[in-house]
Amino acid sequence: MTRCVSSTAASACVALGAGLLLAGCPRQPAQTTGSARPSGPSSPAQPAGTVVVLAAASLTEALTAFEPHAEKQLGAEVRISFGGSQALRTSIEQGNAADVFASANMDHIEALQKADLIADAFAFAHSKLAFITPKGNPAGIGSLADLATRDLRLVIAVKDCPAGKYTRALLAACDKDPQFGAGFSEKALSKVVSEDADVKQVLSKVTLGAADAAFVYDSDLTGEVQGQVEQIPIPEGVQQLVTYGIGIPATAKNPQGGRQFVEALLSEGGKAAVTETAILDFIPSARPPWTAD
Amino acid sequence: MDGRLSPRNAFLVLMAALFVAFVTVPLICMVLGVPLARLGRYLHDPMVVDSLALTLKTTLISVPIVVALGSPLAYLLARREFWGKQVLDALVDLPMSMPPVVMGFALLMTFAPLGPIGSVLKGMGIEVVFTTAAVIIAQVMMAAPLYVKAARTGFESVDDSLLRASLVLGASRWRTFLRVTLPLSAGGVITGVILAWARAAGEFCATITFAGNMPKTTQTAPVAVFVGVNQDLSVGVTLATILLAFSFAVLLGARILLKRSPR
Repeated sequence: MTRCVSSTAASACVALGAGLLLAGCPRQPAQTTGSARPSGPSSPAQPAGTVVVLAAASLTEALTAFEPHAEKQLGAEVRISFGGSQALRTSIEQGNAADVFASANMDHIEALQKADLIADAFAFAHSKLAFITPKGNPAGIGSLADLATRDLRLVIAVKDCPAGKYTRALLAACDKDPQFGAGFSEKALSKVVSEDADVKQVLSKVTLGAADAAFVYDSDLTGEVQGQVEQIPIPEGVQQLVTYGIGIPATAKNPQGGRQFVEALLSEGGKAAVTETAILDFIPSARPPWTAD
Repeated sequence: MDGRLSPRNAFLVLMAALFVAFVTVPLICMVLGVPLARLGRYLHDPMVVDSLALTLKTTLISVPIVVALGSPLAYLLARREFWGKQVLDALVDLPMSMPPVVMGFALLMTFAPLGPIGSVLKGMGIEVVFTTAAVIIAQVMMAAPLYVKAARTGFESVDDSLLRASLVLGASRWRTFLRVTLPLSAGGVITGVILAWARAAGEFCATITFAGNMPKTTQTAPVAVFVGVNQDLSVGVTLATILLAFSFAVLLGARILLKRSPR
């Protein structure tokens, strides 16, 4: 029982708040009826049909490229909020009303499924990790193996952020690879100077030259960023398959719009709009479950 | 208050109660969400102990820096008229109007090895980003305006005639400052110190942007709370509750000590 704060605290809040503010002294907490889940702050007036999307920070380029296409297809306003998948999941658990949730791994989707907070979720795309240095590679890193031997400042994402989890899995895979040898991950992790909350913060430390090396997604390396970093190849044997999941949260106010958004994203036109400027490997066989029959 | 509840007093009390409720109800709600058993367990957690220790250590350095750097400026603003004073005044307030993340990025772009000051420092073998020094710099940046404002009000409250009297009676300017100006403006200065400490102890956004997040080096208590909330809300609110108690104890303790000590 970890995520216990929502219902008890929220109902206590309502009772206590109302008691204190109206009567000037706390009353017995009145029985707060209705749903145990708080409905979250009521959103400011939204035009009918607005689709609210919460998406992993690493999908910023892909979904920003897709947004105009989606608005045309759906004939509705689309609002996308990007953040660390773990933070977005927490906000849904706290009642944040969203019509689509796209996560950078399946763990957060599965956790929401267990709590009946998301429906119709499925894996829809892949990407890979990228090992990067600032332009000019000031620390002179030649290969991934240098992580163990060279003196350098490495930045990774926190362990509950998908990027941080994939990074740690990659380093653990290196331990089993004779090319790197056991104990590699420990040596590499000792070079970590900061654990950032999401992958875009990790990236900014490299583009500004503050860190010598970092692990991000290959999908982060588009546009302007390409000129600011250098990529060092990751051997196939230790590379991690990043899986993006998408679904319709139970908090959705416009679930129909959410489903239309997902369908548009997976249509040929949607995929083309994304891959024109961004990097994302759509899973060819992925189909929304509601279109299965 | 004289004990009688006149209509005017009743109004004041009601409004004050509303304010107190506004501040305390959300905090009470947060604390209610934390099981006592977990609180006990986390009190010994290295993440909690280390981050609180780092917060104490860094603020004990950053607040004196704020006082040293901010007092002359506060004095100038309070007691001198000069060209460009309005501009300087606005500059002092600027960090308060900016989102802390902006100040964090500004510091990062200054002190990163590719930045103007960072590249010079790097040539001298000094690195700032990702170090405890970066935490202190971020705290000074965010806390200094509060101190300068409060200390300035303190310096302004000193009556000119008292200073003239002191000088006429033969005291040196320095002696006048130490024996007249400083004691009379102590209220504002001390308020400034407390405000600066509170701001520095709660600073996380500029810190995490500029200094990063590393246990024992840059992970102060507010940074640990932010990271904790992202990992698991219950860990975050438990940490937050401990930080809340810690800050309240320090702020209350400072006031009690000040009241007891003879000035």
